[in-house]
Amino acid sequence: MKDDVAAEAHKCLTEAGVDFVACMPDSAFLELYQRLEADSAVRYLQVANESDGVGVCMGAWLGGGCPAMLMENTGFALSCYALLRGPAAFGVPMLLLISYRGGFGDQRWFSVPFGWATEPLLRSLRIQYSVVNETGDMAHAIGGAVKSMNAMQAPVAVLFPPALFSEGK
Amino acid sequence: MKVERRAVLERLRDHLTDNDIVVSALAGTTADTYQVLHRPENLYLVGLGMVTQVSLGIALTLPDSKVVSLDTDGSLLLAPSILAVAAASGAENLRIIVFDNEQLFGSRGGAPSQTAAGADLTAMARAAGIERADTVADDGGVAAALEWLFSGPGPALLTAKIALAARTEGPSMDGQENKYRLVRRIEAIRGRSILAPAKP
Repeated sequence: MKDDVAAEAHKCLTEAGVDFVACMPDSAFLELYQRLEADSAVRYLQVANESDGVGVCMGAWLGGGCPAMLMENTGFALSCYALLRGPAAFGVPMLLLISYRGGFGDQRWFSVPFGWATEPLLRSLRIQYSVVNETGDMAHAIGGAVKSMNAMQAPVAVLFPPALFSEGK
Repeated sequence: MKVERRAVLERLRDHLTDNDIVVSALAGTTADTYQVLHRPENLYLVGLGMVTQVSLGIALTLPDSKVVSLDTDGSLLLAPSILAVAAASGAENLRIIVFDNEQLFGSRGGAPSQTAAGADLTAMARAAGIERADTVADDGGVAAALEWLFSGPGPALLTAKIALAARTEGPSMDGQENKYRLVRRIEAIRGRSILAPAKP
C-alpha cells in the first residue's frame, strides 16, 4: 500500500474508533499493518489464517472492542465459513479491510479468479461493502462502514484495489 | 474410567466468578454446559473451529475476566492454528478445556476423529507454544487437573479424554438472543456500553 494511503487508512481507522485489529499479513497492506502494530492505542494480533481472525474479531467485539480484520481477498475466500457461522449467525459487527487482488490492473494470473469472486461472494454473504478508488474516499468508506456494522450488527467490508498498492507489490 | 464431561463442568463452576466468561462448542458440549453450568456469562453453540478463536478475542478485550474455551477434538483439529496464535498472544486470562471423545458428533455415534488414531492435542498445544498443557484421562483426576489449570497463568490447555454420552437438551434461545444477553452482561462487567443506542 502506498505510504500516503496507509497513513490515511490508519487515521480513518483511529477516527472511526477501531481499537482491535486482527491481521493476516499481506504485502499489499504492509505499510498499514506496520503502522497499526506500532500504535499503542490498537490491540494488534497477527493470526495464522483468516478464519481464525474472524473468530477472534467476533470475540473482540463481544468483549467490548471495535474490531477490524485486515486480509487479502484470497483469505476472505478462505474465511467464508467463519463469517457465516460466526458473525452472520450471531449478529456480530466487524470491519473487514480486504485487498482486492485480481482487481482491475492486477497482472498476477493466479490472483485473477479471486478478483472475479470477491464482490459476488460478499453479496452472497449479505455483507455490505464499498470500494476505495482514491485516498479521498477513505474517510467516508471506513467511517461509514463502522457506523453501518454497528447499526446492522453484521460485518461490513471495504475493498482496496491494486491502484492503491505500492509499486511492485 | 474415562472422564465424564458433566463432572468437569460441575467442578468448573468452583473456579468461576460472575465476571468470567465461558464459550462453548456446539452439540453435546453446549447441551451439557446448559444443563450443568448455565449462567448469563455463557456463549453457546459456537461453531467448529471457532471456539478458542472467539474465546481469545474476548480474553484480549476483557483482561480482568477469566475466559474459558470449552472446545472439542473435532473443532480444534479443524483449526489448530489458533493454538500458536493463542500462545503468541500471551493472553494470561485464557483457559482452554478440550473435550476429546475421539469421535465426530460423538453423541450421535459419528466417525472416529484423528485423536482415536493417536493425534495428541495436548502435545500439539505444547508444540505450538502453550507450555502449560496437560491431559486428564480418568474421572479421579478431574479436580486436581482443574486446580492445576486455574492455579497458573494462561494461555493454558487441559485435554479431557471423555466418555461418549447421550445428547441432552440445550438452550432454547438462538445465537442472537444469546449474544445480546451476553453483551449486556459484559457491559455491566466493564461498566460501559458496547451496543450503541440508535440515532434518533
